[in-house]
Amino acid sequence: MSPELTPGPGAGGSLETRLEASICGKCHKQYVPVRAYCSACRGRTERIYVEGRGKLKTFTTLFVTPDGFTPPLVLGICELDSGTRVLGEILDYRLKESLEIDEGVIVSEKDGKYLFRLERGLSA
Amino acid sequence: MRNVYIRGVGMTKFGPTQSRLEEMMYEAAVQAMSDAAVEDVDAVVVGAMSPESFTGESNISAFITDYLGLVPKPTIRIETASSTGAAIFDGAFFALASGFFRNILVLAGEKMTTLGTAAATRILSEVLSPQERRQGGTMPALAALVCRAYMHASGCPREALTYVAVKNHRNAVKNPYAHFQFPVDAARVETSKVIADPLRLYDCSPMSDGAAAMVMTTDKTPIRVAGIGHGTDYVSLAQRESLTSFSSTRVAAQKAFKLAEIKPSKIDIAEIHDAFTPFELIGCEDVGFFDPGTSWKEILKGETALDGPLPVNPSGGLKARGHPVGASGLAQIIEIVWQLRGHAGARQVGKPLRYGLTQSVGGMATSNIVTILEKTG
Ligand SMILES: [Zn+2]
Repeated sequence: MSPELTPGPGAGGSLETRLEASICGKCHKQYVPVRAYCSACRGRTERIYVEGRGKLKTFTTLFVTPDGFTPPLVLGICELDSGTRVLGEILDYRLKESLEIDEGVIVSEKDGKYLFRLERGLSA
Repeated sequence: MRNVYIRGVGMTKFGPTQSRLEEMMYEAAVQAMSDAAVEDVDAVVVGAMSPESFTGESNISAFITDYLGLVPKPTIRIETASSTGAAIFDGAFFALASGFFRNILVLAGEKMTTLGTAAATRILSEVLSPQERRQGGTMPALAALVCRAYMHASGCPREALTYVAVKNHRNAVKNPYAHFQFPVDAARVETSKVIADPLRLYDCSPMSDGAAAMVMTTDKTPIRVAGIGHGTDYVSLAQRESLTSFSSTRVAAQKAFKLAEIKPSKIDIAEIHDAFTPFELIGCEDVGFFDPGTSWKEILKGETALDGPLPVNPSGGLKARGHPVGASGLAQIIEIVWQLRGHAGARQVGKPLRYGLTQSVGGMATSNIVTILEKTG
């Protein structure tokens, strides 16, 4: 896959939508975040980049959070267009009451955490 | 492979206690050995999830075996997070089936209430994938993600989650070993504090102290271990094949039913790992009682009530009997033993019972175990 992917809706701005991923050299299963070996076949993986764009498959708002987090914390699982799912934090707090399963999200990574922004929030 | 039977069982009352872990385990073990009418055993298999974190103790199997006066019997510890109590049963089953041992004491316990809820929640979240934890993920958070996906896919209403909580509290009122011996109504469940939506406080099992013990044997007794199965899944929840079903339960159930040579329709009674109310719905589907996405309809019809055709969690389940994480898997099996023997007191299921099933979930469904017991005498 080409490392020069189309920039997301934040293009021209600050939004990096390219995510580091791993692909298994044997069975081609993909992983986000990266891992050295494939959990499906033990194959060694190679580094690739996938586009941080996908659909929200589920979400929750935590009102009781672990140390270092302030409630409400909104977490979700995104299924990237490349097929891999990843758990991350949904940043659009003003929209959190109306989150919908299967709506589009843009995923970025910062300091080992995945951050989700709703596509409709960005285009508004 | 030799047949394996259950010879005797014992348990402490679950819930906060001043007793230390070894004292709870001693109490349960003495009951189990007395119930089994044995003075001695050939080996000791110990289960506890995190005594290192909860109470700062390690080398727990030797410590407990010493405390029980069973030196120099061989002893090991087995740990699979919240299915630990079922994993020790699994380990002892194969040790006995090999023919090498005749009587094994299995005992499991957890002392969770010493540090307070916040610290205990942090310890429990250590079972999750490092990345999902780094995001702020906790057990209730991940259970909530599964719950929302399941409700969306199946059309399951909030009412069905509430039903599970109300039913299991109602059963626990009749169980002197239960942590919560009070009923709750739908309003109380549905107005309780939101922990991680859609899960509320009364959708979650409590932090409990408790221990359970059992003497397993190759000598024939009225309770035979007919089937057992164990499955593993990827630690990362996001990377699972399904967000609405636990593959580790499905694998475990298939193996257990194959060994028992029966179909799920033969099961008369079950204990399902309801650490969160939606897990009881999903568990009933994964073991094969109900088709995917249909548990909630069956449960709302009363199918799994104490007087229904397939009572589920007659003990009150993890939800209301309590959930000392290392002990729950064994406590489930003990409830089935009591029910098959007709010794379950006020919560005894009235219809004749032959086969009972347990399903235990380890971590976020990474290490799940299904057992099937048969009343033979
Ligand atoms: Zn592979």
